[in-house]
Parts: sequence; structure tokens; C-alpha cells
Amino acid sequence: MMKSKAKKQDQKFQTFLQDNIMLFVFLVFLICGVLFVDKFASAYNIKNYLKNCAPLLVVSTGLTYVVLNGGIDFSTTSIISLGSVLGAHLLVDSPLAGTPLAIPLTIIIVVGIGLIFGVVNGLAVSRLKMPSFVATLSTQLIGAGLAVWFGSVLFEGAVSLGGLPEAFRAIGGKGIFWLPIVIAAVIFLIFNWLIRRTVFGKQIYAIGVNPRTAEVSGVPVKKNIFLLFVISGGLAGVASIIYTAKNGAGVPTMGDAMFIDIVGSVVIGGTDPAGGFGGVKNTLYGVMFLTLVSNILNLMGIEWFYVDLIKGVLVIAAAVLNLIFKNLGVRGRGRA
Amino acid sequence: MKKWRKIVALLLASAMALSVAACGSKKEETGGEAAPAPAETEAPEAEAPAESTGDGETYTIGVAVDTLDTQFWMANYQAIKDRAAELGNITLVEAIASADANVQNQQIQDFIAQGVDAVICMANDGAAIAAAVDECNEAGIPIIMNNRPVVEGTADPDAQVLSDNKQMAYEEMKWFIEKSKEENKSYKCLMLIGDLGDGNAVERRDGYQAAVDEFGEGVVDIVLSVPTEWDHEVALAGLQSGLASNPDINMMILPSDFLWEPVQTALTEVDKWAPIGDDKHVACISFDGDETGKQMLADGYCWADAAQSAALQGETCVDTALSLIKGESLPNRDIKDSGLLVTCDNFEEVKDSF
Repeated sequence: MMKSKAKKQDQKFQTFLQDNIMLFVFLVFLICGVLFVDKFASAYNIKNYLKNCAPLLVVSTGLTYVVLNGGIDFSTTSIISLGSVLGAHLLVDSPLAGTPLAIPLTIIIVVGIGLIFGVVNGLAVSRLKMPSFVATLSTQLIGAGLAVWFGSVLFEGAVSLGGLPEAFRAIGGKGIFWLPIVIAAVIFLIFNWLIRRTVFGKQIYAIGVNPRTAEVSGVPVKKNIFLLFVISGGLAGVASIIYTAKNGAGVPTMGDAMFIDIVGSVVIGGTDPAGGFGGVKNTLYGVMFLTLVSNILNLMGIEWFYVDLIKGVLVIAAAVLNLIFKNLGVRGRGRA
Repeated sequence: MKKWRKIVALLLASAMALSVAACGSKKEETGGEAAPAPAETEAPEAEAPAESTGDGETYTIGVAVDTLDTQFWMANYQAIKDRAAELGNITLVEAIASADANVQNQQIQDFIAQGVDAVICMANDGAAIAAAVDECNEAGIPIIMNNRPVVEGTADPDAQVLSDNKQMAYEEMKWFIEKSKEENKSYKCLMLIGDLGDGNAVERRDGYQAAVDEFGEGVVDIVLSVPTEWDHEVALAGLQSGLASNPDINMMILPSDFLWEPVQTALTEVDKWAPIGDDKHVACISFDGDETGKQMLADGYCWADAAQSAALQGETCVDTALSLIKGESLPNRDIKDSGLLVTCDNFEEVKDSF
């Protein structure tokens, strides 16, 4: 009886550790940062660190839903770019500019663009049976092309557009540093709840583990896959708003280099690229870890050519840790 | 139990790796203890700030670099390092943004967190950098824009060390048109354009166009403008289609020596890569005056190159940063390098001076 209880407790501990391994790695790095890196614990740096985590968490949360299904969404980066261009134009150069409706309508339109991309991706994958790799790579190219084209047409000869209203820039933390953090936290809480506490969430894991079995069990597979891409697109639209406000400019290439960080946060956090395991909470750990590594390396003033090298090694180390857990056989619950 | 030991060992190894890296963090320490008085800025063409004097203090300057994929940036960055080493009391910390405006803003925030005394910024994007400039202003840290200006009206950097792009391009095109008139030649021209988010690219285009509008009637006709986004692949694709649709093009304007490679490739493909004097020659004028441009002038492919001094601008940034750190005021916020017009006529005379 005692032995069985101990075994149960050990298993519980293993599962807890497995689910939260990146949190422990993050904490180790955090402690090292506080102890060894000058100015790391300053209020200014902590504020910036959190501000930098915020938009990455929003877009990575959306991608997590798609990855849990074993898919991928490349179009997130071009949604960020396209939203940035159109958002800046609406706020600065359009007839809306300067009116009280400018900011709310801009937010609605940019998030709407993300949702439209999500709908297209969702239909292509769920109805046309296109692999998500192909469908979202296509929409990524379309979105990136549209961003540059709109930029060249709307920005009157310049590629980027600054001069965004201060009230809009507050969404990126200008003057109100906690605002993007609160937005990201609310989104995280909602989507973490959705994936962990609802029937929809359970169905997503079931589809990720085995879509055929899920379908036989009565799970509306097509509808759910469609919704995953809509969520991913919509949250990329929200991230576009935050990134644009944070940088104070509409830039047609805003999202171009972000995919590594977005997908890195999801996978490093512990969500299985093959689907069925992980969650939004894991992505939070991945975002906090990756942003922390960049922050620490910058603060340490390490020569630039070492930075990517060290970052790559650390990411591999984190991935190896995840792999060890997988091989230890402590996974298999199908959800975080 | 064994497996948990392994995990704990891995975690500790990660932590150790970080702490070793922390201990071994290498800043570009160039300083000695005393700070000798810096040499007078060797910049007869530039409106350099007042000469800085050593005060025994050591200073940290953050250098935010866009990319290091052009000879101009490499030479400029090397000049910053050399000048800092020469002054002896400056520590440089560096960050490369890999052409990502969002990353560059984060890196400058990290400089501020580090408590640097000044920032020298080679901006990726003239509009997006405004956010970082604002942050530096709020933190009271002087920020000096190096070669690329902030889009007017979006933010207020403490200083901008710039090439006088428009005037240099204007003078270069004016020279070419006069030369063509002497030789009784006329040209159909393809103008390459850099990234229109880059104020330098816009000014160069405007300078070339202004000279053509003023002096070029019947001599130079710009029949096609090809955007490049400062990207070899984009430039090559535009050149190939431009040469296919306009086979009578016999002149090209390069807004940077960075673009010689796609130009050479495209002209070679249509059998028009030939030096001055050859019947197949396509006349080219360029901008930058870097090693590639110099070679093209020496080999007879280039008629003129508006040379901006990468080294002078890098040095001036360091001197300006030092002046601002010490609270000195600058005569002008924008410090302009008026450059040197190098042509096939004066190349032998001036080739060692740029």
C-alpha cells in the first residue's frame, strides 16, 4: 500500500517536472543573470525584458494551438508585417488619422486581417486537405508581398512610416510600460484556460495525438483545425499591433526575421512539433527563456559573432533536456 | 534515481556555462588608464565637433550596427574601433541587428540598461529607430546616428554624422553630363535605387535626378528606375528584366558600390560588361568610394564614384559621442561629410586619399 502511494507520488513529481522543465531552466538562468550580469536586475532592464516578452508571447500562443495539432503556421510573420504597414497608414496618413476612431478601428482592422489569413489557412488545411506547411507558406508569401506592395503604394516613396500617435504607442509600452504586459497576460490566461479546461482544448490534444481516432470518437476534426488557424491568425494580428506600437513605425519587413523566435519559443517550451503534447504554459516558459538569453547576452556585451553561437548552443541544450524527458518515458498524457 | 541525477547535472552544467560566459564576457576594452588628448579630427570636408580633450575618465559607448555586409559598414565600424583605441579611454560594447529593426531597438534598450554613456547607431530603419532614440532621450544618454538619419520629425537624436548625399550625387551627375557633352555622347540610363526607407537612398536618387533635370536634356535620359531594397537578388532580378525590356540602355547609376556585383552579372549575361572605350561598354557611375568602387575605377568600368569617407564618419561619431558625454554643445546637430568626387580623370591623383 505504502509502496504504491510512493510510486504514485514519484510519478506525480515526474509529471510535474516534465511539464515544467523549462521553467526550472529559466529560473537557473534567471538566478545566474541576477548573480553574474551587471545591471540585469535593474528596474529599467526588467521592464524592457517584460515588454519584449509580451508580443512574442501573444503570437507564440497562437502558433502553439496549431503546433499542438501537429501543424505549422508560417503566415504569422507576414500578418505582423502587413498589419504593421496598414496600421501605420490608417493612423498617420488615412482620412481616419487623428480622429477618435482611428485607434480602435485600426486595432479591429489589423486583427481582422489576421483573422482573414487564419480563415484562408484554416479552410485550405481542413477542407482542401492541404498540408499546413504548404498552405501557410503560400499565405506567408502572399502576405509578405502585400506588405511590401502596400508599403510602396501607401508610404509615398518611403518604405517605413513613423510618427504614430502617442496614445497608440502606449499599447507598445511607451509611457505605460505595463500595458503590453497586461494585454499579453490576459491573452495568455484566456488561451491557457481554453486549452486546459474546456472540451475544445481536450479535443485539440486528441486530434494532435491521432486525428483519425479523434474523428471516430466524434470530435469535429475539420471544424477544430479550422479554428486553430483562425486563432493563430487573430493573435498574430494582435501581436502586429503591439510590435508596431512598440517600434513606433509601420515597417513592411517587421515580422520577416521573427519566425525563429516564434517557433523556437513554442518548441523550446516543450510543445511537441509532432502534436499532441505541450501547451500555452510551455510556450510562456519558452518565450521567457529565449528573451532572457538574448537579454543576458546583450547585457554581457559579448562580441556579436559569439551571440548567435551561444544562443544556438543554449537552445540545443534546452531541446536535449526535453528529449531526455521524452526518452525517459514520462510523457504520454497527451497534454500538459 | 539515476535519471534525476542526470537531469540535475544538466541543469547545473547549463548554469555553469552561463557563468563561465559571464566571467569571460569580452568587451572591446580599448582603454588605458590615462586619457590622452584626441588628435584633431582629420576632416577638412566635415564639420566636425570641437576637439575632445582627455579628462582621465573612462567611458562606455554602445555601438548598434545594422549589418556588416558591406565594405562601407565594415570600414566605418573598424574606424570606430580604431578611434576608440586611439583615444584610450573608451570601452565599446557592440550589437549587430542583422537588418532587423525590432531587434535593433531591443539592443539599444539593453545598452541603456547597461548604463552606457552614449550610443552610436547605424540604423536599420530611419522611422523605426525613432522608438530607440526616444528611449535614449528619456534616459539622458546621447545618441549619434551614424550615416543613416532618423526620418525627419519622428525623433530627435543628439547628433547625426551623415554624408551630404544629395549634393554629392548632384555634383557627380553634373560632372558626368558635362563630360558627355564634351565627348558629344548621349545616354539612355537605368537608375538603381536603394531602400526607400533609407534616407540616404532617397537623397542620392533626388541628387542624381535634380542634376539630370537641370543639365541633362538631350544627354542623359533616365528611362528606368529599378528598386533594389539594398538586396543583391532583388537588384539582379530588376536589372535582368530592365535590360531585357530596354536593350538600348547604355548607362547605369549605382547608388552604392555594394551593387557592382549584380550589375556585373546582369551586364555579363547580355554581353555588355566591357571597359570604357569598348563598343559594348555601358557607362556606370556609382556612390560610396569603397574598395570595389576603387577597383572598378582602376579597371575602367566606372566613370565616377562619389566617395564618402567611411573612416572619417566612424571617427567623427566617436569624437562627437565624447563631446556629448562631456556635456559640450555641438555647432550643428547634423555633421555632414561632403565627400570626394573621384572620376576617371582624377583617379590617379586622388586614389590614395579615399
